[in-house]
Amino acid sequence: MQMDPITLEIIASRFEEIQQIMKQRLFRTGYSTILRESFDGSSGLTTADGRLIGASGVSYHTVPYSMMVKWIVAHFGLDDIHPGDTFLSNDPYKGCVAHTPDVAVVTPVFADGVLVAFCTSMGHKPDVGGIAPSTSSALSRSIFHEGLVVPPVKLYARGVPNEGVQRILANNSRTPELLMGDIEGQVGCTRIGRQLMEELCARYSVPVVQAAMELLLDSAETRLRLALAAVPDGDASAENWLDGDGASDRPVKVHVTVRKRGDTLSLDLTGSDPQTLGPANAVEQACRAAATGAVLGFLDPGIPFNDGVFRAIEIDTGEGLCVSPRFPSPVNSYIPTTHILFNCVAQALGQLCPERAFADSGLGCGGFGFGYAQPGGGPTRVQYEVIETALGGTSRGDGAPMVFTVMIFESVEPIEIVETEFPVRIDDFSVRTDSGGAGIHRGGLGYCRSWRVLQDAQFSSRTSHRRFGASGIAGGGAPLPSRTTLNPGRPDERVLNGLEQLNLKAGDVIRLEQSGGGGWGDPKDRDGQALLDDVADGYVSEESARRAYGRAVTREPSGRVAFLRE
Amino acid sequence: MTWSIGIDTGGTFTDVAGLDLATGRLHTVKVPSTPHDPSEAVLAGIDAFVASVPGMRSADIGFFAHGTTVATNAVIERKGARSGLLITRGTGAVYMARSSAQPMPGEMIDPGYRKPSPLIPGRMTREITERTLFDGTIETPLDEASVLAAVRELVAAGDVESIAICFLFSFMNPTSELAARDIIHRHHPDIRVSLSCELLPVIREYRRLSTTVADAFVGPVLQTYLGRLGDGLRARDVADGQSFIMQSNGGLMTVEVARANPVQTLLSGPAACVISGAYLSGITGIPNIVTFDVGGTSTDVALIVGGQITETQAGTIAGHHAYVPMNEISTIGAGGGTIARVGQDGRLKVGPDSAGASPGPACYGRGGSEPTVTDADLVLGYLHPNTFLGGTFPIQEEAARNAIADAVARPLGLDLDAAAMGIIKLTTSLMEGELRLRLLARGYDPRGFALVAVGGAGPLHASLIARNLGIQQVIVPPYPGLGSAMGLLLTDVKRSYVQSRLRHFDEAVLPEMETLFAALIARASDEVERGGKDLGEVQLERVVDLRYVGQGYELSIPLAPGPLTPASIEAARARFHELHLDFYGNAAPEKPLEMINLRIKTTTPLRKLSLPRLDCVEEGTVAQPDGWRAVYFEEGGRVQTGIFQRNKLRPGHVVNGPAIIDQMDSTTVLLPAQRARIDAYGNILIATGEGAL
Repeated sequence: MQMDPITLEIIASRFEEIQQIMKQRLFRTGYSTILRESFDGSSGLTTADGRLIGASGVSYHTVPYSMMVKWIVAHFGLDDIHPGDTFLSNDPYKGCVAHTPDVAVVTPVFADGVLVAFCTSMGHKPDVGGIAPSTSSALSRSIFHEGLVVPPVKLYARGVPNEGVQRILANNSRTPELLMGDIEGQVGCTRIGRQLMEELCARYSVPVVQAAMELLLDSAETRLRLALAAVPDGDASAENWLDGDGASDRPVKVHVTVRKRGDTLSLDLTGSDPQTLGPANAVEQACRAAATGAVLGFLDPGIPFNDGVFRAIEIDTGEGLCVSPRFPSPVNSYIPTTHILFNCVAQALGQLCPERAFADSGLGCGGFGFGYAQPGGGPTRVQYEVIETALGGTSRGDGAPMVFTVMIFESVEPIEIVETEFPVRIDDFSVRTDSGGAGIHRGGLGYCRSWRVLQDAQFSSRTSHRRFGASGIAGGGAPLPSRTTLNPGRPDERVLNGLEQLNLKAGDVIRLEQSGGGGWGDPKDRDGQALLDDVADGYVSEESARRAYGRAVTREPSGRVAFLRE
Repeated sequence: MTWSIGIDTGGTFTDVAGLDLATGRLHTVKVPSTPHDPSEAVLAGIDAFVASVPGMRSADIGFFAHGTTVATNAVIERKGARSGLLITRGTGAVYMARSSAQPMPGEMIDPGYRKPSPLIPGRMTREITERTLFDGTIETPLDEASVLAAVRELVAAGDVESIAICFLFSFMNPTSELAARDIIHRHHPDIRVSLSCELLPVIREYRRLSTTVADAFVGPVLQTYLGRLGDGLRARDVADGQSFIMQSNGGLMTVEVARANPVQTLLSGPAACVISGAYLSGITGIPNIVTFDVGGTSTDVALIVGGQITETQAGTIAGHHAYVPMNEISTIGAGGGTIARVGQDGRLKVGPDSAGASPGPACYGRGGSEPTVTDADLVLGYLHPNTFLGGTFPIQEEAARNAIADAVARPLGLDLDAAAMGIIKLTTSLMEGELRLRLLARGYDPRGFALVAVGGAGPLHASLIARNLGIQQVIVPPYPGLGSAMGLLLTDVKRSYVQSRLRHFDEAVLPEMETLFAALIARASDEVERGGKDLGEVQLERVVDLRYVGQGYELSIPLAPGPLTPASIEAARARFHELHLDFYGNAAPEKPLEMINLRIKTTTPLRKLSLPRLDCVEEGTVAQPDGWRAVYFEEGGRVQTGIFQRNKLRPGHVVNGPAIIDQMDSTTVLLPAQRARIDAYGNILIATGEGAL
């Protein structure tokens, strides 16, 4: 169909706007702190056959949307998908989410009797059942330990709610109100998207809207191919390790070989370790999303993340590996695995194209869950906090401090909200001095945070990298690795693994010291004033200035700092 | 002779709008802005205004209102005061971590993602031993010696002019912050102290911290500015006791109150323009309005719903957050100077970069070679070299044609008109997108709104945008380019006071609400009395911010006047469910609510500008064009189009589209088949015709 480029362009901009509207609705109606304070959710659009048009919000939800819609189309068939239907799933193996707390909602869009698109939404839920509060636990050895697993089902059929499904969902969560409140918000946001898509079709006709979808995919492909063509051809590999899988302390390897030819790229992950007994596996769609995100982030973050980019990137995840686990392997702690995958892809590309190379972001992102039994036997209250590190230095500047690096956003929960809503005290939330790797452009800084529980609690640590850390680049230093300590300074002090499940007693303290990002370039060449400012601001210690940067700095009692005459 | 005048400082011009109270006559003057010290242009504007009115003296100005961007620019250019920060021990990461932001797709995978560096750096921050708990209990009393030691260090290290203090849970119990301030005042009376418990007593420490820091950072700068301005006003005998400054919430405050609350001016720049929109809503009887203010580099849009300006409690300047009540205005990076180009992927893109005033659009002939929206307007015939800015500013059509031909038409294989139209359509589509986002994310239907077109370029594109959005009517006020200066003459003194308190919202909370409201009213009363007035002259509104238990975002619900009773609770609950349904498409009347904040809003009414009714012609008289030219429209291509002079149109006149209506500061475009009439106040009301969403 011959279309004028302006009209297509206008419709293409409407798709982005519709995703934005859906996302804003989602976050503003959220009940759980994860959704409303940390924004761990997204909304998206796919074509009628499940190709991703785009997603607004968390970038890991991109590929899962596509795979979930494809599953629905394949298994329900076009004759069982109707106007007014809304599907729901949190199944990492069928619904294609990354782990069970991510509940996805999908609503088809019809116009002129034709299935045109799907509006999608995903949000991380505080709890969908399972062995431990917040669902994700180091103790999990199977997907069956990871709470209620719902394959794609109709939550609404022709506009009528499926009350059976709703009751099953509510009945299997420690936080039914938050779960169902968030789900209703997701349904609402996909319905807004559906209405807007219907109006778009009514105005421009279905074939024109479909042509605009193809334009978006084509142009993302074109931009990616142009960017790839500018990178020298070649092969490069990178690898890194997880501390363990939650079941044992045996390190788990993630390995990437990139092969760049002309305007295409292939990523081979088959050198990674086999799937693990504990929950460190990352399902294929999460790995594809992370690896693709790394490619786009490295080449040009402005390239739209849609299905078009997969025409130029081929990803082989193998089978039965920690990056392609088989059912029913446990998968709840997938973030660290995808994080090192992201870093490895960027590192390998950096070998091919050193002028764009950037240092690793700090390892050890993830989440902490605290479950408090209610006095009097009410439902357990679940506090979930996102754990962040920082970005690495780049050729352009220092890494950004204190962000969730795998999908960059700022999301540490307010102390006042946490202490008001849960029986816990945040005794410390401070900048971790020297946590960023030294460099001409140093890594961003991580933070320290201490939780003192005021009542007995179940604690889940779903993070990683207490032994293996991130690297600097081009002569830049490595950041301090992350560390978690139970009851520091007490006789029962213990350094914890990334994946742990513990029972805490009232008064117990969890102390977190997070990694910063890696450094870029030789620290000896860092700008003198920038180093002095860092020491004055408490970001770099005097000792580290001497040791890592090779400059002796003195501090006057007023806090003013200066270089010592050499 | 008594005049009220409003003066708005813009980037290029400082606008003065004056109202002769005896006759209702409106008179305006423009002078060049003086960015190095904006008060020079304000005072020069007064002098120019007085000189332009025969027989007028500056002492005839009985009322003076001013919108200033001094505080805003101090943040953008990082030229604030030397400031220090005191925080609770163990909260040093709060400022750097900032608060959650909704992730943007491109940023989420950008290794070069940045945060703005703090306005007060770590070296000027000190941690103080003290701790208050969530219920207001003081666990660790303030260590007074550590406050004094910290302040001495800050003075020694940076010669601080101001100090921000933000302690945990000070909104529940301000004792420690107040005590710290007293210590500073005792030993360093010259240091200006900003307290989070006074500026923003609400939950979430980062919000209080960033707002308090902004206040400390801009406070001394604004004070100096207001001091200079005040001297100039006094020297001219202007408006003694009736001098006001615009706040971010679109209300005025006295100069004295402004000195004490600099952070309230931070986002006041575009606020006044929205007031003009609300005023037009009043005189035209149209309750729901979108204001559409198009400048050279950006476009501001704001909503007026049921005659009320939409407020928000959070704003951002250059990445720095200030949580103050403000008119909710969203900005789109597209305006007249926005550049169009074809990307490597063969797609046409407009913006976000702009040619600005220099080099400006290609047609300015100042070295700009890339095509802009203004160039497209010129090629299509919406603008004309003879009438651009009243013909005072020469522009070159040939340069515009060449730029569009080279950069857009040829690469896309389009003819020149289609390429120029493409630039307009894509630009207006971006503007429409933002409008639709604002409206639909809140559940409003565009078909129930009118569009008020202001700014130099607003009336050029408003009729197209309105039609595409399904908005039925466009209003072009008599002086579209003077929206902000006019707005200053159209508002009241407005203040608001807030206090956080998380409680289940039911009858049991009534006694505590009484106490908290009484304390807020006492604060309001104190400020009103210091301004030489009595609380009796002030309209008072009580508002409670509510949400479903467990939800993260609250809705503000006004309480009915009169004593608080169980019935007030019931009414507020009912209103909340209603509003939630409106905003979010769902409501759960069976679910319990919780209260987050209590607010008091005070309004002291001022005498306002009212546009005079003009002499009219017989209703429905079809206006005759002053000339014709071939203008390009999306449907139908080039058509002979009537060109009208705005100042010849009288109330009662009807203009049939297609038409171009020229005036000194703007040009209004009517599409084919659209029809406009001139109302009693001289507004152009365009019926945009049927439109789809």
